Amino acid sequence: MDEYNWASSVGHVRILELGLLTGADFSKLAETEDLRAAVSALRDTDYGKQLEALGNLEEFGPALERALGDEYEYVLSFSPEPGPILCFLSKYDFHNLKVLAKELLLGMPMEPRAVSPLSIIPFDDLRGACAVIGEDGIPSLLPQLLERARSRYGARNGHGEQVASFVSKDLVPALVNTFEEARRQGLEEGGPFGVDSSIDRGWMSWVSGYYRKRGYELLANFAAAEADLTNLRIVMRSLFHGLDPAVVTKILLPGGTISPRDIGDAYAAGPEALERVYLCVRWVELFRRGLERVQRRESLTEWEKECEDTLVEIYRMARTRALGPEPVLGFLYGKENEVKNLRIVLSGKQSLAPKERILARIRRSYA
Amino acid sequence: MFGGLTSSIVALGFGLVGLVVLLVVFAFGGMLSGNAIALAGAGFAVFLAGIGSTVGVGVAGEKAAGITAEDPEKFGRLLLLQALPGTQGIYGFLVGFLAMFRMGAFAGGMNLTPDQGWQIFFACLPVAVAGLVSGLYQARVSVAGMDIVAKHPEESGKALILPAMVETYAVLGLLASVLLLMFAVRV
Amino acid sequence: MEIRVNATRQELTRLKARLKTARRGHKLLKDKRDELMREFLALIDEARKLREQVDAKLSAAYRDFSMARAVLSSAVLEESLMAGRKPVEVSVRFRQIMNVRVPEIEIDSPGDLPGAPAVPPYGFAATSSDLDSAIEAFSGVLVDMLRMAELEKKCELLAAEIEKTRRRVNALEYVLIPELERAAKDVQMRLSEMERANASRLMRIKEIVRAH
Repeated sequence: MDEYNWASSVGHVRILELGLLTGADFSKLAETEDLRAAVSALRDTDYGKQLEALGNLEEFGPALERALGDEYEYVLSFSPEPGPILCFLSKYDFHNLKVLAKELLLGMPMEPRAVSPLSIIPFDDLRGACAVIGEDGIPSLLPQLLERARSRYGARNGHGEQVASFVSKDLVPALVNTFEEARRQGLEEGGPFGVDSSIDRGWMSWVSGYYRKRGYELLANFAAAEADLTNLRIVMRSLFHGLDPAVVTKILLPGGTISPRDIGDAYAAGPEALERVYLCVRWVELFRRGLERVQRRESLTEWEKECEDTLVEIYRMARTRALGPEPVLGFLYGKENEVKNLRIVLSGKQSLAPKERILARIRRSYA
Repeated sequence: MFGGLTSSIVALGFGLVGLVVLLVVFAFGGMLSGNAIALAGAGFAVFLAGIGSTVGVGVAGEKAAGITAEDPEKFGRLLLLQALPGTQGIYGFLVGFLAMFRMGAFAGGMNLTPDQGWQIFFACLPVAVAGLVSGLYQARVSVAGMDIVAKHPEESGKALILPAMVETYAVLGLLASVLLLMFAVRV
Repeated sequence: MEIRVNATRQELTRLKARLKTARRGHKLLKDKRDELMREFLALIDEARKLREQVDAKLSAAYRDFSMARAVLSSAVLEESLMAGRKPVEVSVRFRQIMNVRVPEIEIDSPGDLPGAPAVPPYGFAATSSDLDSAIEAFSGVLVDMLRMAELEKKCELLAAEIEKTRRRVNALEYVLIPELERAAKDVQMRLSEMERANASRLMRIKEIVRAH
């Protein structure tokens, strides 16, 4: 697509980026006395409105999500085409699909708080469409029903037609395929682990496929880096818990620069083989540090923060682009990251954690 | 390089080549007078450089509008950056005007041989091509320079210098065309 | 409590028999109390240590969990925990310590407790290791908590029994036995008093008879 089309959006984003909270802002937040002080320090930011409307300060989580949703809608409103942004947002749809798959496939009681309100297709629509289960166990009318589904982001942004076409032509088939795969995995493994993992895989393979198909090379590279780093984290946690190689191969995400099969084979062969696999990519240092922690049986918390910081660094490349959808998606990622950081600070304040523990967990800021 | 724009530029290029081929065929067939060839040259100077500027100013304007929507204070500085890719069009127009002047369009007597027509045609080409290409690229630098204005308004001067470097080559094209028209072309 | 009895020789014999029984009972109960105390002290020590451990582990688990909650969005967290864990089945049996029935808890099916090889009930890609360690910590605590429940119930039952025994021992030692002793002494004294009265009466009668 024409990157010139994104000129105006990038202009918007360049100013919006200035409003992102920096590392110094987060340090200041971590220094505040308590939750109340931290929230009032946020009064002048984008989150002020949502946080001030709260009766009970402890309920800051949903308020942050609402602020994030508003930001997504705003960014969509000035984007020339919704495709890449919706693709970014599809993670929430796939998350809701997990909730639904656990309810429908594994017969677990539905948990309303597990539903993400940020999905493109509202959860109730997805659920209504999935309720008609065919003989084979797949929601038989899913595509037809979902095509008529409302979408959260289409209505208010003047992208109605494009959003509808994205939902019916791209998102719904992906959701259907993933659901089917999750059903097979769920029956085979008989557990929520298999269902979750297969939906994660379905999501990643679809997202990177979409970017590549549409020619968003840099976005596809971001997705690949995300898949790689997520796989690295999966490998470390699997090593930590001593998971079976056969299982690990099945839960690794596709779409990265190293294929899941290579990682899986190396995992079965031992840490040295894994290191050889990671030698040819950028993450070898990260891998070594993680392995050291696993071998010393130390907590992976700080290391996971390092992984996420690396991903933020990669997304920050988008800040140097003057045109194209990358800066816009980079900003969305930065915003999501910022909400995560705020959650860390506010949860830390809520549980009266010392400021060192909070600071050790705050992710690198996109700003 | 320009994504979807590339295809339109390629199409435009094919069109131009076709036009030139037609010109050549007609000229050698004796169907075109020197006047027509000279006029085609003047036209090329104006419209090719004009395309470069239009696209450039357009995309720069779009980005400036995006930034201004979020922060209206930056409008003044952005306007300068938006205007920079616009100079190519002016250069093209200037050369077109000079070419018409040289072929005697304002003196009433236009009676050029095909050879003289070709001279004027080729004298116009530097500003036409340099204007088109430098316009597109200067726009890219301008658009990137707007990021500097957005992030560090105090450094706007630097943001102006960078696209001005591209301007050099548009100016060189203009200079070459003007010199050719004034001193090299024999009419 | 005052023991009122007829001052007869038969009563005295009965009192003495009761006193003997009481003394023997007192000694037995005292032995039982000491034994119970010994058991109790050993248990309470273990229970206290375990309680400290469980408290430490729980607060660590809560710390991990609060971090997991911070890093993951609430929707992701709830979704990850939707599956719950396999139920842990336990059976309770009873054992006698010094005639006290105390419960013993045994884990029948470990569910997902440590030692049961299992994958977590959520995917890895969307979650963080904080959640793993929180869940693991909670599972680990469960075993200790079951053991703690057993120990603390034992201690409670033993303590009640000790209290009861102690009260009995005290009742015997400070009330019944002194009372019995006093009553026996009383009867004894009254009997000898009566004897002396008898003797003097006899002597008086003898004198009267002799004077005639």
